Amino acid sequence: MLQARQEFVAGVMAELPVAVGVLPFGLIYGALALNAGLPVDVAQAMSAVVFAGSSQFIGVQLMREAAPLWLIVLTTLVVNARHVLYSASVMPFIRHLSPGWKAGLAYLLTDEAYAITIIHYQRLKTLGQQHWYFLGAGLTLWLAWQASTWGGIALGARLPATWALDFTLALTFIGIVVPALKNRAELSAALVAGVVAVLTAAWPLKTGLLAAAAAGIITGLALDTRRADSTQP
Amino acid sequence: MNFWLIILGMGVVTYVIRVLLIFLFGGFTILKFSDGLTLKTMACLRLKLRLFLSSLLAAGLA
Repeated sequence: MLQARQEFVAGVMAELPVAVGVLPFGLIYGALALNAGLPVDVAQAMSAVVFAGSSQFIGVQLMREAAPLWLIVLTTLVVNARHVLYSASVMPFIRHLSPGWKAGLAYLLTDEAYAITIIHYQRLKTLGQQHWYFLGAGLTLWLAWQASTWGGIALGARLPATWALDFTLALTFIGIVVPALKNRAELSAALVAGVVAVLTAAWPLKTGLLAAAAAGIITGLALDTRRADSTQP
Repeated sequence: MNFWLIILGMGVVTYVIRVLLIFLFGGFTILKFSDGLTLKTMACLRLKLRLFLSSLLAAGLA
């Protein structure tokens, strides 16, 4: 039991710096969700039920634009598809656990918890109580996300209605997108997607968004493949 | 618009993705992440994901 407690505390301590970095995003999400017209309980529940930042931001945007359910769920599926790799990666380390433990840890499997936990797991020689480390890291991030969402909702509710927060959604997206554009392929993907989104804005059911994303991906992949071909001897 | 249904849909799909390989292939290791080939596959998937995210967010921004 002592080792379990030590592992749990070590997981909490390792995750804390990452959790602090997540706080501003939770605050922004809470304020944006409220501004997008989500009721307070729904905005908070999304953080608890979905617990995946990127898809929550995109989900709020799609809800604000009254996108259909299938489009929101499909987008969530694609955006969170990377978690399949995470679960495959941690599975060898937690397969000895009971189904209850596996089900609980899967819920806490976020980018930030995975990054911290997998480093710890890969240092191990034998498996013991290390799932407590995963639990500590995951719960720390969960609490930070819920608390910052609540903070954002409280902040958003206190702001006067005349303070239109619409622009903060665009600012958030700029803050996420721009640092991710590190090469010509990614920059072109974003530019093409932006242009196609404007051109297809009148398409029904907001399907123009998916068309724009597809156009961006095709452009980015084409440029990336060409670059890879040209660098080969 | 039924917000609760949307949240449930998003939550279920996210959870299924997270839990799928943990349970579905729980009895044996299907991916070895120390394997160079698998790491290359993962890097490739991450690139495609970044392209998708950049494209989708840029589209939303526009």
